Amino acid sequence: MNRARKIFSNKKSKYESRRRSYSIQMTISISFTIISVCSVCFLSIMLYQQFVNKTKDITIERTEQVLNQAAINLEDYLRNMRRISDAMYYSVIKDKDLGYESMGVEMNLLYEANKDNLISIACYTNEGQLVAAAPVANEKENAEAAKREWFQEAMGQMENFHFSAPHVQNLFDDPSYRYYWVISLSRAVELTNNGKSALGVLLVDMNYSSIEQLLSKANKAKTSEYLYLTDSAGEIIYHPKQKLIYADLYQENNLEAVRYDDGSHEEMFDGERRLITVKTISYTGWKIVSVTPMTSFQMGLKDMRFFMIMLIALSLLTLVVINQLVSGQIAKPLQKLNDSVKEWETGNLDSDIYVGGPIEVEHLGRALRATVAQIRQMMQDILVEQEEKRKSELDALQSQINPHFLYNTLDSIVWMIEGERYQDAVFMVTQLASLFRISLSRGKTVIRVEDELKHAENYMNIQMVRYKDIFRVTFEIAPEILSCCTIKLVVQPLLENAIYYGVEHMDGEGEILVKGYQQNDDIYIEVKDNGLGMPEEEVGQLLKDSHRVRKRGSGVGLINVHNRIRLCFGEAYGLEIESAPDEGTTVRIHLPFVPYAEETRDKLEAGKQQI
Amino acid sequence: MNKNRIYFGCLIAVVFAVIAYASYGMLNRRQPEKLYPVSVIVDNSSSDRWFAFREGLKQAARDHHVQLNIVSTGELPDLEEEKVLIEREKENGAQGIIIQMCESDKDKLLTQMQEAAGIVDILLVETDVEPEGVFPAVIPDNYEMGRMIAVSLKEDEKKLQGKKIGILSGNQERLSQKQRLDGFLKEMEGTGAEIIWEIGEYEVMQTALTEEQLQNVEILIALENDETERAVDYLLEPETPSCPLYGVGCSEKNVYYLDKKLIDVLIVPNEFHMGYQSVAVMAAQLQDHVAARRDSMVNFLVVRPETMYEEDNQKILFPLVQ
Repeated sequence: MNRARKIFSNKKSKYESRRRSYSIQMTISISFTIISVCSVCFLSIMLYQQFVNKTKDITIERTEQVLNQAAINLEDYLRNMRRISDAMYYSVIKDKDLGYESMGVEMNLLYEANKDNLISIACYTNEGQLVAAAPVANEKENAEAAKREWFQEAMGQMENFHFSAPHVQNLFDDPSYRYYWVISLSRAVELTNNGKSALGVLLVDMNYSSIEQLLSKANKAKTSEYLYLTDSAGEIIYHPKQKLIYADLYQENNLEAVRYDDGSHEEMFDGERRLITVKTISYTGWKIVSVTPMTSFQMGLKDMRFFMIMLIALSLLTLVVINQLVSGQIAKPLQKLNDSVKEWETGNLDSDIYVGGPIEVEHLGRALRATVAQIRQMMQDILVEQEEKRKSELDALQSQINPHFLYNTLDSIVWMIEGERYQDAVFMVTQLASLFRISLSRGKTVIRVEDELKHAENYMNIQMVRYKDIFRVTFEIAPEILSCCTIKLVVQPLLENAIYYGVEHMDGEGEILVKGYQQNDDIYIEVKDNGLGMPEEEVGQLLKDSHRVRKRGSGVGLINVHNRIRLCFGEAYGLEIESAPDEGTTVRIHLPFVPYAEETRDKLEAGKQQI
Repeated sequence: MNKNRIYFGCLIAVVFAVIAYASYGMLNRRQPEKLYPVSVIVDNSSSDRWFAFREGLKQAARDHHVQLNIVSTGELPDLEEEKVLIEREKENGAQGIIIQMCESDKDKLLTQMQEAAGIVDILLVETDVEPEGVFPAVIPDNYEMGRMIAVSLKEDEKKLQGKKIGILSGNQERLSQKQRLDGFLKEMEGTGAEIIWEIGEYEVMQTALTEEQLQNVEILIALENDETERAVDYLLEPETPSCPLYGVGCSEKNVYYLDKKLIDVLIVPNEFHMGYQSVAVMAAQLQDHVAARRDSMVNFLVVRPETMYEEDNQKILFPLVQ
């Protein structure tokens, strides 16, 4: 259960992170594109479907027109044949008495007039004996007309015309080896022989080629559509692939099609869907069947399909480009705003928040810009406050020194006057004056190293008088550091400590060395004594514990000097102490090499020159 | 933004691909349908006997997008001449050649024929060559046709013992003729009939049948269309005694004499089928060169005067349009 929840939550978080990673422009663009694609596809499909239906309707209409035209032509042809038969019967046979008249001349005339469409005209008695024929030809020995289907049908239904199926004429001998496919039009006729009436059969053999030509015209178009002709029983009279059907190389659904009513029908034949249009020829019962494979619609529509695909693709291309432009237009101000906020986030507090674009984005930008300005102001205020606090702390530290000095010096002068050492007292007062002049330094905190060392010298002169030269002081100062910056009153407390804790209680002569030098970009001022020294643990505590109880002195210690240096020059600077019991102590002041100038001094005092 | 550009680029690329596909489809549709040029070389191509064959060729050419060229030929005396014709048709751009071979067992010349054809496809009609299977062929079952003549003869003549038979065997250099003769002779074995002469086409053309030969014969067998016509011509001569004629043929003249009962039995190969099938097979070969080449058999009819007007027979025997 927990595992499932974990997987679900993983998936969810992945989904959310993916969703978050999409830009506004992309989201807008994808949404617009999807909607556009759907709309264009839907419209195209609808349009295509409309076109398909329309094409189908047009094809059916055209097919019906072709079919009707073929039917009209065929009916016209068959009517002509019936007229020939009527003309022969009513104008010739009925007027002739075969007992003493022949119908051969008229029959020949009629044949000659229509020989393009006819193979022969023949008249038989009811026993099948030939009465007359045109063109004149020898009747075959085995003609046996009475046994032929056309003869029997004519005799069977005497009032009607009868059209046979196509067959090879087998009545007359043609020495030119030619055989003709014919369709026989037969009818019963009344023959007069020596005044007596008898039945007979009039046969008009129509040339099958004429019908074939008539219908093949309708099949001329190089399409897969075609039409064929069947008799009322479904036997094929004409088919564009008739020989193939005879050779069993092609199949036709004629026996099924003949059962269809006139009009259009859909059928499935030989794995192919086809549109069948049927038209019945009047009088004969023959049917012209038009076949249009459904694939032929598709063939015609293939161009249209490609055109639709291209239309969709072009529309899509246009829409995608427009979508990109529109989404870019919408997203660009937001993007700019986002970029400016990102820059601000990276720490560039001076970066300008973008204001522009639509009203909403502009308002957002303005609000954000106001907020940023407010934050910036607040940060500035905090900085000023902190600087003031630092300055007041420095001032407080320095103010701890002045009373200490004053107490020490005045104590020494009082002690001298009491001992009537007026010369020494004058020297002391002079040195004290010099000391105060440097201490005051016109209220400046940062002074030259030279002044600070002068101050230290004054102090040591006072102390030397006081301690009756029980120790010696040596100053070894590199001249290049004299014009550098230092904060005031940093050497004097160290000398004080060297006297009180180092050399005062020594048995031998104490020595204090003040050494100043430059190393790389830093300067060092060392106060070294050969006094009592201290253990390592104590050295470690000197610069950490500000509440240490001092044994002697004013209570202003090394930590005071150390903190003041760090406040002014930075954490990298301050004091370094080296000491060992009975070996003396070295306290080293570490300062940056900053040449003294008014401007530099002001900056250091304002707290802006921290290295 | 970068990802957006990649997606956008991909989409544009796909759209352009679709446009290219649709353009290609539209332009390609405008191209006229490709027609495969195929030449047909048969012996005496303008002869009536090829009428149904030509109809079959034309119908198949329409159905299978073939540009047909029926080469005008007279008698094709030998393979050398056929080779020249093949080379000429090849030069004229024919991609396929449908050919009736006049000889069939000269290996060397067959090789030359293959060389002449080169990359052009060859298809045999009417007769195969030895060895069989070198070229695809559309042929009737010649052996069976010969055998059916003998079968019909046995049906008609209850006693064949001692009957004298003369055979016009046609071009025996041609495998089809050889097979017909073999089929006939095989079936006649044991009947007691006597083959008094068997004359090939070449000999007949050189020296006509002698009166003695015709006088002695009681049954005439013709194994080829022209031979059947020739036999009828002999029988029509007044001095020639009438005798039953059993032949192979499909020309209108032969059909006419069948109708006139001068021919007792006519074996009629379905040449419409042969013509149609040969072009269909050739077109399939040209459209798909890796298609398996295989022989096709066409059917034949055994027709007598009294059955020639039967519906099924007349559909094969008589051309629909004159």
